Amino acid sequence: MAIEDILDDCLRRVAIGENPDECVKRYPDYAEELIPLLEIAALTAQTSKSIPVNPEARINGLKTMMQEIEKQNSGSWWKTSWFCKPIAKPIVVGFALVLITAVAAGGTTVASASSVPGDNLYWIKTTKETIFLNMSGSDVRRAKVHVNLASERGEEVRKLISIGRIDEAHDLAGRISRHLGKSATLIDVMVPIRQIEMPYRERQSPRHYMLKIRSSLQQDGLNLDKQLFQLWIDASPRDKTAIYQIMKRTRLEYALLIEAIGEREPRGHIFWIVKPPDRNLY
Amino acid sequence: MVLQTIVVDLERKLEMQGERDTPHSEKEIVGKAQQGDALSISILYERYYDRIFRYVSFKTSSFVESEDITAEVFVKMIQSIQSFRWQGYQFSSWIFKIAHNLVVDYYRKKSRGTAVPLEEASSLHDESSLNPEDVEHVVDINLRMQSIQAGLRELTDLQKEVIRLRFVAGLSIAETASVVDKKENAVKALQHSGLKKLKKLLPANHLQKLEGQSEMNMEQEK
Repeated sequence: MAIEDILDDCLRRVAIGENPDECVKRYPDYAEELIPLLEIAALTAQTSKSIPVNPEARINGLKTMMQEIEKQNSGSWWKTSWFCKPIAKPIVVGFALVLITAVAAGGTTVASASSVPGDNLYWIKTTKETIFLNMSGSDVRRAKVHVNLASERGEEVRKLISIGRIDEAHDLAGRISRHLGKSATLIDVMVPIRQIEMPYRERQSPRHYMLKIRSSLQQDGLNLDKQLFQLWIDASPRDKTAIYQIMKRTRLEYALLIEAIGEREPRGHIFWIVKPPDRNLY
Repeated sequence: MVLQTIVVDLERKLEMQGERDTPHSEKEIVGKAQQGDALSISILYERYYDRIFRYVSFKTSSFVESEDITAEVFVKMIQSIQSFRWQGYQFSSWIFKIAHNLVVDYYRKKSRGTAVPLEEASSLHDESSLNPEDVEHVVDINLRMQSIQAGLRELTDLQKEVIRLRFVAGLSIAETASVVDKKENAVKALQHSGLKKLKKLLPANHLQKLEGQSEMNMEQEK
């Protein structure tokens, strides 16, 4: 067997989940050459996968594609196609919106609602979320949506862990942090990320809304913590560490925001109240 | 309601078949897309968007421009999907060929104005459109991409295309062979020689450093 075939065999096996070391053991005579080549391939693939995809660009691309369908629909060669049937045309034209509305209305009947990252229809779920966010009028409402989304990401983290996709769960936990952070910003609460930063908040959002958000955070944070703890108990020793890291991180982030909102009006001994800049100055 | 039913039906069908990634399943989806089925088109979009975006990003080194080119790939897909035929040719090969051609067009247009060679394009991603918390992550990716791209520049055109299609786009040997119009054995040989050359260009300590940076960032995130 030529080295080209051996390398490809190992790449194929690694791609479907086999440990590279196991594959190298199959070809001990080629181990010295194979290992660095597999490393380079893995590094390239890993770097590629870490390139962030902008969800807004993804939605814009979908819109552009739908516009093109509409354009084709008004052209000649699509005349005989499905797009030109009177009943179908409005569906195609408003596909994105209708799909999102349908998914939203469908609730538990639509599988995308229970999808996790990597699933075929996960993008529908995230698109729906983006639309909901944009439709939420006030900052306080958007803050609440972000809290709900953090909770949803928590549920996805739980699902990913339960099916053994620990690394992806770890990455996804970062999005809980982002949702909580955005929620905090929308209700004018700044949560310190580093100890040296002086936390502050401005008092603008109605207190009772903030307390509702706080209550949701307490409940969601507790639920997630309980579920992760249960998974931690059942996990293998190797996975325990990773799950613990996720638990520690999410617990801290929920706690920080709950603490930052506080139960009572701030007295200034923990948080600095910063007056918004006078807009007339600019 | 009509669309909702379609969504549920197709999802259930896909779930029941349990073979989303098999050629048969993709053939069915492409077939429906060719008939103008909006859901099938959107499934193809979802299935290929990220991979095409990353493949294009590796060629252009610009997130913003890659987003535009990726959107254009799907416009081209709509324009020409009816002409696609399953004649020893995978749909994935077809769509990545569109992406490749659009990148070539992009550089052709760009070079008229700025005379930037294909592989010497700006190596930094546009970070201005990103959230502050993403910037650090993007800088790390940039560093790693720059190192790999610097290595890729030393490879032959075919070697680097094979490396990108195999490890960035995630195509199989057969799919890659279709895109580059070579036989599978030739692709395997190009893959081997390309990785071997990259290995020489990216010394072990550099690799460790890159991996170290990645791990360090992960630790910081924790």
